[in-house]
Amino acid sequence: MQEIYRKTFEQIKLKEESKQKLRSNIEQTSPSKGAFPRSAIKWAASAAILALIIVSVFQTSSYVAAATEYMRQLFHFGDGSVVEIIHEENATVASHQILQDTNSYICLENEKLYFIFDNNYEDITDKVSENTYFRYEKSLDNGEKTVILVGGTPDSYGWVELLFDENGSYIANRMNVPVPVGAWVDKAMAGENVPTGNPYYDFGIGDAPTS
Amino acid sequence: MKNEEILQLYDLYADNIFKFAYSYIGSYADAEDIVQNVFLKLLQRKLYISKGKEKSYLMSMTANACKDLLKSGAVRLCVPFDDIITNEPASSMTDSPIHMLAALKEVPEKYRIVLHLHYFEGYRIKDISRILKLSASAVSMRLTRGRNELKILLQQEE
Repeated sequence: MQEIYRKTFEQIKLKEESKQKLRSNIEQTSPSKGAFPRSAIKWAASAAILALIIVSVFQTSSYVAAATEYMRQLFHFGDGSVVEIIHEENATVASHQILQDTNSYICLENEKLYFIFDNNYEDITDKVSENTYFRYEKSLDNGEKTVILVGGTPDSYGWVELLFDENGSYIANRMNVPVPVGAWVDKAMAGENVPTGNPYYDFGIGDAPTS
Repeated sequence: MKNEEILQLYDLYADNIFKFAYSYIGSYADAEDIVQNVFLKLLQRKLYISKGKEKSYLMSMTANACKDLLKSGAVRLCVPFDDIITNEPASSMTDSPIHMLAALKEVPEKYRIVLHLHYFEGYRIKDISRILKLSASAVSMRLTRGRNELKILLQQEE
């Protein structure tokens, strides 16, 4: 049996291309700068992702409208995470890196889901599902507002964070949600009048999505 | 530990870490992530590892990273075994790597990782107990149970 086992795992190999890519990510990361953002790597490395981490900036916000040349923006999220978005001339998609590591707003303990943020440690298991979500809002010291939306089930859960400026205009979001994305995600974002990418919520086209 | 030293460790052990993570999690993409995270952690923490202990230290870090990932519930879909294995003709069903992996999938992870460290990496019970921070008797028990389960599962495959 040991021989078959060895034979089996001798055939399981990190693909050479992936190996070189990971090596170069490690090489490019200086100890002081922190980790290369995992999400960016996954986008580049594989389309078959299940855990999805997205950071995006609202494309029509005044920040981006002015970005005809190189521009660097820093976004401070509720848990102290800092995300840098870099826009370059002629680039249609901005790149980002997480300067300060992100925390999760949700944790699973003994099959129960807890919302953990801002001195809260609340059992939200019964408040969330594939279709329903828990909402938490907080004003930040810089005048901006963060809205944290948590949803899913103990088997598949995640969070979305939306950032609004001092005038209440939507600026950016980041999320850590499992794929396929549960119906609660679009519902929660639509509830905050934020574009979801779902025609039903954004344009009233089609039927209400079901999980 | 300097960057160059970490890269040297990467060149030496990336495959072992990947195989161990894969045996633990069963997902190619997650095992890949684990490899990267282990080395980035090493880079950020500026750790000093005693000479000769590097591999077992990395294995220990890998076991912890896999455990955390499984706890978080964020494990990705498994890549079908066929995509990973470069098929070789097998003399019988139980000789086939695909069937070995299919059987392994049914073995609880706590047995699976002990089996991997012993069968593939060749570690002794004492070494495995250090890597996984378990007592030697627990490792021995898991090895026996894992071996028995795997045997039964492989026989069922026949």
